[in-house]
Amino acid sequence: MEHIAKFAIQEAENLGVEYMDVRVSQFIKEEIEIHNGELEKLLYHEDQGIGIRVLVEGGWGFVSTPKHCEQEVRKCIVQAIELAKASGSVRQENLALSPIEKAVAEYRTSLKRDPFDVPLAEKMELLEQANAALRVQPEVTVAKSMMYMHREEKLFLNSVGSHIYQETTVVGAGIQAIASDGKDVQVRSYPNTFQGNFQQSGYEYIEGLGLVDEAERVAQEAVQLLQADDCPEGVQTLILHGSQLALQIHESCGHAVELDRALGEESGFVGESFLTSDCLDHFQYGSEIVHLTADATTEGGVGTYLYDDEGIAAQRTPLVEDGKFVGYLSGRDTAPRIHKESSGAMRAVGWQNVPIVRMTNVHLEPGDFTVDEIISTTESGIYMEGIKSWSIDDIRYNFQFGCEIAWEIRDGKRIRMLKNPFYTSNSPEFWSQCDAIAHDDWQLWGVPNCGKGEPFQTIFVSHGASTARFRQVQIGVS
Amino acid sequence: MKIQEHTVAKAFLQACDFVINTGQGLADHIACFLLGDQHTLTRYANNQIIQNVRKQDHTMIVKVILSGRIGMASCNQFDEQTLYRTVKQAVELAKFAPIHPTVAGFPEQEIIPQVNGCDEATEQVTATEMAKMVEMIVSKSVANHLRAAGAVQVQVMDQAVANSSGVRVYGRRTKAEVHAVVLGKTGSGYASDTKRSFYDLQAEEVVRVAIEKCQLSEGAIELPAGDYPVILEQKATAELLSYLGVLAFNPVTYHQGNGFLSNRMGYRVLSEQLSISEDPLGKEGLPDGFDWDGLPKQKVSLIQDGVATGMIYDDAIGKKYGCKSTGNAKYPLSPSFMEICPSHLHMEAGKTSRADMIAQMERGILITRFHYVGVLHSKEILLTGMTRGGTFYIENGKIVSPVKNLRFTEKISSAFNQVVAVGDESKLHSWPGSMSTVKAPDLMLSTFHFNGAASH
Repeated sequence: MEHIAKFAIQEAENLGVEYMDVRVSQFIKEEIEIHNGELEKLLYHEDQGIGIRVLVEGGWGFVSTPKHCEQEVRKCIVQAIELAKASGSVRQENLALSPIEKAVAEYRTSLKRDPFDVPLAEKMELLEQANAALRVQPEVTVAKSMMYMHREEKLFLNSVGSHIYQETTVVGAGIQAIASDGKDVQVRSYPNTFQGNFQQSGYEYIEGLGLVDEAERVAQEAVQLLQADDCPEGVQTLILHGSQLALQIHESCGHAVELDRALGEESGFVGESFLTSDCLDHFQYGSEIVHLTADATTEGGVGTYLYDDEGIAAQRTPLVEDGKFVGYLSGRDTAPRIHKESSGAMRAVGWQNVPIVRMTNVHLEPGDFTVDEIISTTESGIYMEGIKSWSIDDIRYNFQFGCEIAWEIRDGKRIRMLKNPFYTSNSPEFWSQCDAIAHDDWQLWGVPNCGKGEPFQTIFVSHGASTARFRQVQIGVS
Repeated sequence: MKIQEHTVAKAFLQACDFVINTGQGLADHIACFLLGDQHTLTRYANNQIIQNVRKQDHTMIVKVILSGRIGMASCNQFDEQTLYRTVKQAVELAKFAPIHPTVAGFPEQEIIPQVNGCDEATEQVTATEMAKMVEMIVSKSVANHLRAAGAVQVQVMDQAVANSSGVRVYGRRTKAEVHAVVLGKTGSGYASDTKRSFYDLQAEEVVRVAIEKCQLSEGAIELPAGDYPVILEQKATAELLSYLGVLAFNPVTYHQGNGFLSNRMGYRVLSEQLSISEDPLGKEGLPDGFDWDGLPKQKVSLIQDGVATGMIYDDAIGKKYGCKSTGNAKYPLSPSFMEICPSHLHMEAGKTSRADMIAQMERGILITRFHYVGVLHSKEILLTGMTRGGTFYIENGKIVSPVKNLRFTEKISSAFNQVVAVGDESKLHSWPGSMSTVKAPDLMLSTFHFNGAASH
């Protein structure tokens, strides 16, 4: 890794680039899935390669290759320079970059039990037991148990002399029951919908999930949903469990505060943001109890690192304070356009891709309530849990989310299970109606499938979230 | 040059041969799957190029069967040491796997249809040529005091499949795509084009349409939620059709009884004006001769005059349900929640021009495309999403006003039963990074449900 990275830096400097950085990485992952007691997937994957980014004549060029030889790297640098020159040929304004300092650092995920050292037989046994427990209910037609782990070793060097080695280990697991009575199909997942939940950790995180213990409840709820009443429609009080609130944060805040979106750079694909730069430090995003933070230093977060993929130190950035919009996620080439410095949020998926502005770990800070207090102080409302569907417009304003399960709350108690719930609103109106946030069930929710950019990159991000209450929300049934 | 004589073909097949030969001594059955991907993309926004990338990678996937147990390993280095280690890794994993009750082996060789999915000139497109296309789009937008965003991209995909039952195939395909989002003070317009060859892209037409839509979109009014007749332009139809493809033609949910078409095969399920097929061999698309089992792709009638007529299969699912593969095996590293689905959907064109549809409409909405569509109920194909890129109100046969984007929540199975007219041209669409396509015409529907509006 070291030799080829240094070679790339030297070659690029010889060719007169203004700036360059190189990432050399090795990636391994293991995936296991059992469906209805049968093996659906058992995969070990490894890849390695180099991503080279150069700045020439005011334009960026990026080339990646799986080949590690000097001849290939030299060819890639020449191609990257050609791309950079072509970029510079269609520009309206000069590219300004926020400052970067030389950094020499190392980072490794803290882990007690290396997941790649755990015997495969032990992993299989856990998933088989959880799968069998889901299938105790005969109406469960599809029972899934899943496990995932990856490790990326990444060396970053740049032309200002930085040398940053980071070794990240991510693990995750989950179960899912799909119940059917021939007329209806209902799904329940644990810990969450997207293949479970994920953390930067060792195997101890998977052991602590209690997949086997939770399977009976998950299966029962999927079956009970078949007979449950439809969620009543209307404007009501909504209580969201963290499993769903994490996605709400992701879609209506996390993406909305990406500065490249706000500046129009994503308008050709995923869209822009209602949080335009003139909103910064002025716009009331939510109620005064809403505090949202992007924190790339959160222990265990799947968006945690020491330095981002352009060599800027990880940061804790307030996004919303006392309900007011105060910060963006940004990189070196976007931050100067609002007279700021990079927030250290440039991330690339693997060596293959160019770094772009991404979420790190975006949290809703814990509030003053317990979950019991939120429910017991709600006279009438709907409590929803688990991600089922999601849709939001291209400026992250109007949204509609469906959940796996709901309960009607009456006089401070859960009184009946409801199916097919969804809620719809717009981002500032929704967050301004937030009047209670719990602290006792705050946890990290790992999202493995955050998509953005062209070429499309799917990255892991985390959200800290707890149960919270929102007043006057339009609720529907699908 | 014959495709098998290409340098990449030789390297890929050589790697395949090494893997199969190595594995035959270590496993009962072995297969390997090789994907090469070169993607060059010039991205622009705010009337300037903001990103210019060329990425390439290749992945070798090895799958073994050992005493009824399956193991899979993959790598992206083709030296013999790495390939040997990958085969061994797959074998070691298989030893720990539970015995699969139905797995017997890999499919045997069949005759592959000869298609030309590769445009050699497109492989050689330069950064300067791509930048010049962007420059043309930007200059026309600037001339109209508008700002342009989008991408010009070229993809070259190499695919090889080999197994110990005699399959040994290689193919190379190209895709070129341009899309433009042109933005004004409040309005925006979208257009795109996808071709096999970069040199066939109609970039001037793309920017012309996007500018026209943008200019027409200024000063949009808000429409109340409710049911409206709609005209779906080709892109909008293609987006809904792609969801129909994924949800209705999933053979697993179909046979489990959880699918939209379960117990409805042979019955009329959509408007009799609609005929839909899986058409991977069509010359006007991005033709593809074989799937990830190495089996031949073929045209499959899925809906004929509104009647459900066919389902798609790969080898394993087909054998499980007593059906023959239709050549729809998915990439082995695809997430397991992505079941097999049609890769080249084609809804047949009708006879009505867009202008005639508009002229016929007393009151309704013209939709350019949708954004961020989500599935609310998979069996009923109940979807929600927003309109984007140009939404217009029609009254008495004329476009009278742009409309702020609307949220729809609608059962597509119901919507596609309300067809008033089918457009006279099916246009090819694809999605970023994917070689799958959907070819779809405009559709005029008598009713479509909107339950909310955006702020813009």
